[in-house]
Amino acid sequence: MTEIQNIPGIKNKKKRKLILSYTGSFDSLTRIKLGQIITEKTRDNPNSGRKVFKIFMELALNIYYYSGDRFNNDNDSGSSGTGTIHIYEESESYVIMTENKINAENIAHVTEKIAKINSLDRNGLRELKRDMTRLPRNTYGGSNIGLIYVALISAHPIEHKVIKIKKNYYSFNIIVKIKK
Amino acid sequence: MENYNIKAIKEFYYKPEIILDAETGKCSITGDSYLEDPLKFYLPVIEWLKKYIAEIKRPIEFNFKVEYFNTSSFRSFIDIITILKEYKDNGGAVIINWYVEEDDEDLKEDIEDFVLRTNMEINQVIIKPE
Repeated sequence: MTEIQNIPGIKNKKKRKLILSYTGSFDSLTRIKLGQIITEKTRDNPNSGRKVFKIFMELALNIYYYSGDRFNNDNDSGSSGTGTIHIYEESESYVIMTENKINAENIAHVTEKIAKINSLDRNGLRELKRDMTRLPRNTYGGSNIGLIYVALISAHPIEHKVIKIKKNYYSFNIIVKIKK
Repeated sequence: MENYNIKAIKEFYYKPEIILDAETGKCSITGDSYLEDPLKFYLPVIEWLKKYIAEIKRPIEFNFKVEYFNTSSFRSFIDIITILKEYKDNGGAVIINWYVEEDDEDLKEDIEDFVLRTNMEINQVIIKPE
């Protein structure tokens, strides 16, 4: 697993407070429990807390659908992706970091998508979001607009890092900042 | 034609409550929509609306009281609004209201994007934060 200190965007350890850290399956019950914790921990900042919650849910569902590490559920509901999430509170912002395993064949697609998202201004992102909804849904019935939505809600570029962990598998890290 | 109702299940799935009333034409989706398979969940809503439009042909008031939803649900809402837009274009009486807290600028922007994407008018009903 990637060391937190090595991830861009996380530099000043003294000024940040860890409000959530979780590694494991991102099944529906887990997402709901983590969402409840986020709501509670961001209660003092309702506007930015709402953004943290929305972005968490989108990133958590991304892990559930796409993580290369799978956990077989007991109740015949298929498998859930596994991964890691950390949420930090800083003096003027929240930082959400996710990490999951990704197959080598998917890296180019997702990094190109993030590069395109980061190159657009807000109006460009909104136009891309609308245009993407005209395309067919992806294999999992997903929207194809999750990361665009994350960029819009956070109003910051999406930072990411890809680290090779073994042949054909990489650690994929996303860092999102939300201003309080 | 029968009504279609689903109770919200927030504890486990973030499924919203759905009420589709064939007698009054009043319909609503209420609650959070963080579904893993919204396509499947909202399919009965789509089918109900198509049947109502074909058989009942009376006015529809559709109220979205949804603050939190994932982007897969976003796409399903476009499907619903598109059907209502087609009904309106063919002479049907349709009102869509979306309830939004006055300080939720992200949701207001989402509603604007629904309007731009579907060309369907959506009334923003502003509510005070709880």
